[in-house]
Amino acid sequence: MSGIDHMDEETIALLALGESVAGVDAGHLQVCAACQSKVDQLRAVVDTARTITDEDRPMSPPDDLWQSITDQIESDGAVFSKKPPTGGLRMSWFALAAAVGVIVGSLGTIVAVDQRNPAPTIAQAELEPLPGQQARGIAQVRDTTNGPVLLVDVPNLPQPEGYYEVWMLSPEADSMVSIGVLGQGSVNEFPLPAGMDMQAFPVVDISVEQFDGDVTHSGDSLVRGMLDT
Amino acid sequence: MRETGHSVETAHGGVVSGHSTIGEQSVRSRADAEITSSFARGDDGSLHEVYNRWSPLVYTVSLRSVGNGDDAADVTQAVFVAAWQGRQGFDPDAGSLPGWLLGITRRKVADHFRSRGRLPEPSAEVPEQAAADPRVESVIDRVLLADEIARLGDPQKRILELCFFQDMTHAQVASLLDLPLGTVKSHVRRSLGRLRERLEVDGVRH
Ligand SMILES: [Zn+2]
Repeated sequence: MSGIDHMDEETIALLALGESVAGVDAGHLQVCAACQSKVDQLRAVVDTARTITDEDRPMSPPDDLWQSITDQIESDGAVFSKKPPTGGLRMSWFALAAAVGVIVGSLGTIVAVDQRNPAPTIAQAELEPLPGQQARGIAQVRDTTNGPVLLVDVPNLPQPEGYYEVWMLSPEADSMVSIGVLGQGSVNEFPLPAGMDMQAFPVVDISVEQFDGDVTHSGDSLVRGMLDT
Repeated sequence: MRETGHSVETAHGGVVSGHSTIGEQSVRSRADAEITSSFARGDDGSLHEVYNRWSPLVYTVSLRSVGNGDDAADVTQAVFVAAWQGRQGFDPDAGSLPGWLLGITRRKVADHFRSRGRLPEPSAEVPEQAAADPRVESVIDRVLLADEIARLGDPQKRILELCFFQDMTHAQVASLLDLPLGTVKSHVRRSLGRLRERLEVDGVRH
């Protein structure tokens, strides 16, 4: 991996837009299929986007169409509830929002989403970059009706070579519990295992892991922080 | 934005109710995931949620493909009826729900053209699976991208529109919007990534 200076993602995006970027090693694209293919992929997106017209913006179908759909389903003999579940889906969406409880501002600021019923924060950690790393974020343990969850918010994580895994470590970092794999998006939520002792494992840690079948911590951490309870 | 204006102290010490695209997107995808799993379970009433969320996508793709509102409404109706009747064939692990709905839309649009004699019946030589209609594929990509751009917050949306439709360079955009160059560049990079991902998640033929 070392020894090759690939183009940074911002340069690739600008090239895809058709801009000429000062100071770019144009010859690199001729020798590097990886960067060239990234430019090509984004350029296809840009080319398509530039053909969008006003008529391509999604618009709602006629108001009576839903009635026609339910009529047709029922005429086929199905027992069918056309009403959205009152309380069911919507409630669980609110419960979910309460469990998540946050929207994260671009500055990494947590804003309560549902102040009617926020899940109380019982511990919080500032996730600091380890030496040589840039990313930083916040972890919170919230007490939801379904038990404690760990919310992890690390904006602007670089695309990993492998994947990110969330851990809770002992203060000495000599024993640990795997909490889960970090998904897409800035905010991730993990239910904590029942009986999880936050006093024994108060350090939240995010590592880069390879697809190598090895379930232990790679030792390659990006951010880390101690929960204050 | 589902902001309430109520803020909590953060580890960063700041209490700012700023704009959020990443957080908002994450909350949105949670809502989509919720609708998707409700539909996959076959919950009573879940089709209405699915319809509310994705009928504009299906209807607009239909309209742009078949060309008039009455036929587009017929196609859209056929899509949602088929979706409900075939809900057991939806596998959330195999792809997104809007992607699956668009798969049905492709078939219903083809049925429509076939009923007008504008497409041959599928045959051994040309099985239906192989017969992608490039016009419909291009409609799907454009409608998905238009939808995703509309969902970008500002200034991301404004930046991208200036780059795409006014052919401005990022430097011109930065100067027009009075934003640092680096900010514009990083918005451009992230927004283009989001658009590409939207096509990959919802636009791919299965
Ligand atoms: Zn390269």
